[in-house]
Amino acid sequence: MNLLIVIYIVIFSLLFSLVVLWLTTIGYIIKDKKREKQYLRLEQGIIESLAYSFIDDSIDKTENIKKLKAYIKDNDISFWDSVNVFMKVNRFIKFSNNENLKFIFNSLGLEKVLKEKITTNDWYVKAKAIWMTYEFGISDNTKLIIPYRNDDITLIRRESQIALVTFLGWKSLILLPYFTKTMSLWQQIRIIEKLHETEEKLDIYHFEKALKSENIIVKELLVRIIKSFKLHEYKYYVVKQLYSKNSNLIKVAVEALNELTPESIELKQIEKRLPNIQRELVRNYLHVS
Amino acid sequence: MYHFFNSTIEFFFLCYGIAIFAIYFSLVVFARKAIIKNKKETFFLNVNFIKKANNLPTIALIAPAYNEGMTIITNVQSLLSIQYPFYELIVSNDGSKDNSLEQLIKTFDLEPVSFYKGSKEIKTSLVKTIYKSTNSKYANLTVIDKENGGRADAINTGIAYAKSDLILCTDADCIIEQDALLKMVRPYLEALDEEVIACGGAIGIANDSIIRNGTLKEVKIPKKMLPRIQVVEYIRSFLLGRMAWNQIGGLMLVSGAFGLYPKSRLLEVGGFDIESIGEDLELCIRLRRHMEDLKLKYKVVYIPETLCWTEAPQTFKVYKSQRDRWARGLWDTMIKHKGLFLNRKYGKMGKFFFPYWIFFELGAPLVEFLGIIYILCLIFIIGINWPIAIALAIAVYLAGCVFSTIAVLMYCTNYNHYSKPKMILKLLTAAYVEPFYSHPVMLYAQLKGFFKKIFDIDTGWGTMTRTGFNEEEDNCKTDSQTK
Amino acid sequence: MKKQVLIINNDVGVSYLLTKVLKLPEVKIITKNSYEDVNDIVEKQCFDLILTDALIDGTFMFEYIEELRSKFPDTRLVVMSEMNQQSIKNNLKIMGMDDFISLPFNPIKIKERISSYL
Repeated sequence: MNLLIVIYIVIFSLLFSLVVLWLTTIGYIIKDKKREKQYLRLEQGIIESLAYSFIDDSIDKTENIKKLKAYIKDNDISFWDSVNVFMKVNRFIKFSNNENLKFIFNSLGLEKVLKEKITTNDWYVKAKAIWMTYEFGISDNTKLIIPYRNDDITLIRRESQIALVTFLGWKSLILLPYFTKTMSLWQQIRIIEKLHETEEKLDIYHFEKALKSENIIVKELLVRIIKSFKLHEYKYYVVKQLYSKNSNLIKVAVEALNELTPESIELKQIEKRLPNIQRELVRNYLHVS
Repeated sequence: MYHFFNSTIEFFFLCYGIAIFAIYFSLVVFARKAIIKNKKETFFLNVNFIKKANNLPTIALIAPAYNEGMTIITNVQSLLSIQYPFYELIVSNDGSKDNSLEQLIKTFDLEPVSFYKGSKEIKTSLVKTIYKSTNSKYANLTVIDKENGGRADAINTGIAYAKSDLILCTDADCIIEQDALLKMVRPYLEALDEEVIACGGAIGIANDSIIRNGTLKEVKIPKKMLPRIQVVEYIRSFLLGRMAWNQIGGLMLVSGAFGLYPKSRLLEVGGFDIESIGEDLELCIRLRRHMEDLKLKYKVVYIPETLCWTEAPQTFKVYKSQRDRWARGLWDTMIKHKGLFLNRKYGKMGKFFFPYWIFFELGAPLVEFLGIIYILCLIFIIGINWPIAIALAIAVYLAGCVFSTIAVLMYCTNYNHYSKPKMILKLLTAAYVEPFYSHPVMLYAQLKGFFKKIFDIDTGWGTMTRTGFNEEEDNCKTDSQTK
Repeated sequence: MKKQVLIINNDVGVSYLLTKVLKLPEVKIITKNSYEDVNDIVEKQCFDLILTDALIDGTFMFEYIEELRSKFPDTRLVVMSEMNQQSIKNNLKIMGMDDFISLPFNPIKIKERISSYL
């Protein structure tokens, strides 16, 4: 009899959890549809405000922003949703170069909240805030970001380092030898992208300081930079990496050499020297089938 | 003595049942964690930012083709629509006996090119000709015409001639979402100390969905019950199962229909095993063993988003043959790599993950079979306590329902393919019907597969009757075609 | 006679943004967000300028540009896309694109450029 009762209890709790799950699903569907509609309306509103600001100074500009503020408050729209719209617009019209966008952003009170989020304890929120800060070019927050450049948490460390490159440009390369932890390919791609966007010219002094680093990942990044900016005068550095023990670094160096000076003697020499697999890699570049 | 025997058997079933329940429960917990973690990370690697990157790994998509005659052109067009800046498509014609090759040559303005002998690390059957297009629109298309050697061999040939860093293996008739590669490449972009040796994605079922121009326009729930049940099954196994294993580093299987691997590692292990039936599971385990032998840090990753859509068996006949084949593949691979079992040398894989597969993936159908025999014995010979038996059956059934419901809920809250309430209702009803409708058939097919393996009967790949995806505006594809 | 401009982008918000940025006198802007809609509208009318994203869901990039070019041999075909790698741009040019606009852009300069095409 005891066993039966135990089983009855189990059955009852399972049925109960089923009902709870069904209700959760229904609740979620309703919430989601509402949120989707709100987001589209919000997006339209922000873009309209932006549009008004292009049609020269008009009274409608401030009117529109007031309406937008009211809409955001009434519908309890989250900070991140608003910022996401700005991120989308930022892909097309660079925030940092556009006074109108900045004005709307500040009027909605978003800049202040962003600053707060950088100093929060939640690593995810912090990383997101740092990302948005450098995408929007809000260099005032640089001081807040510097402490995180060697953080243990990968996302924070990555975003802070990219932020420093964005704000300091080529000068930031001087920090490279001090970055002890490893960098992912994505981080390297982003750093190179930000270096392309910076208005300053290549700073030879800081670049050469970085070249002295022994860190494999830093070397990889520098080879990629040499390839991306076609710095032929540093070809010697790339050739030096061909003799490294790290196979990944060799591969990156080969790719770089292929772009800088295709069909060069160094590449042909590599083919003879390297073991089978690497030879295959090189051959794919040299003999196109 | 009877009673002693009884109670040990019952004790065994009880333990097995509780173990499975505990494992499923932990899978739910881990899967939820993994999905949240994945969402957080992918937030930063927005597809729009990846699109403009310049140092991305190059990807080669290899599609083996055998007698795909009626649908080959649409399939290739569909694969060409994939959006990735550094991408090549290699179609490996595995000695098709129909006019697939002629169609390809004509549609894509192909002409033969001279070629060197492919990578020595992989042996393949004879390559007759390699074609490239004269039309710059199709500059990234390569067609390899070779002698028949099977699916694995066709893919290996593609690997031998690929120029790219990463290889995506797929079937010619899978529909791949256009931004799939942009998403699949994320783990490779974010890798730090642990090298990514395989990346898999979720596979969805596109029966009765709207497909236009080779791309998936709108996902719909399949009309028939059997494919509908498979939708729920795929959601359970991909979202709950694989995501959870991914979280604890125990992912052993990356589907052959959609898997992204680094070419260098594939060359090192010699590509797919052409003798094996479950070649995707086998390759994954072999890659893992290889990295363990090299003592390098690695991981097998999984993307929870559904990026690849395929056609699921609509009839029981095809379903049975498919499950039979999967069971035989599983058996094969487990036997081939039995050296891993409880082998300390292979770390967690030897101590936990491989044994899990033996006991709960290979073992589950067998235990179920023994369970059924035992119950029959109880009913007809020994005498059964009906109230407890029925109550137990109901409890087990409800537990299954709860897990399926959790899986469906997790999918619908995170991804919007099945967002309409009606769709969710249909999925849930299919899930609740599954134990009675398709599970017995699957069990039968799996046991048949094991039986064939134990007694050494070989039936190969079997035939697959395809009904096509029912393309709109294209009326010649609605007939079935037997391979 | 008003000039007809067609703006194509998968994202509704983006095409709306472009409409607002490129507001010019004597110019009528139509936006479409999917391949089917584009196919529909190109059957019905001609355009003086087409501003499109390279990537449209439902079709394959190079073929899409080629199709637009063959439908409208005289219309200015401008592509504005995030996918701006050199190899992609080269191929698009072969397919018939007239000009490529990289992102991000300067709204004032864009307006000038677009009006110069009209």
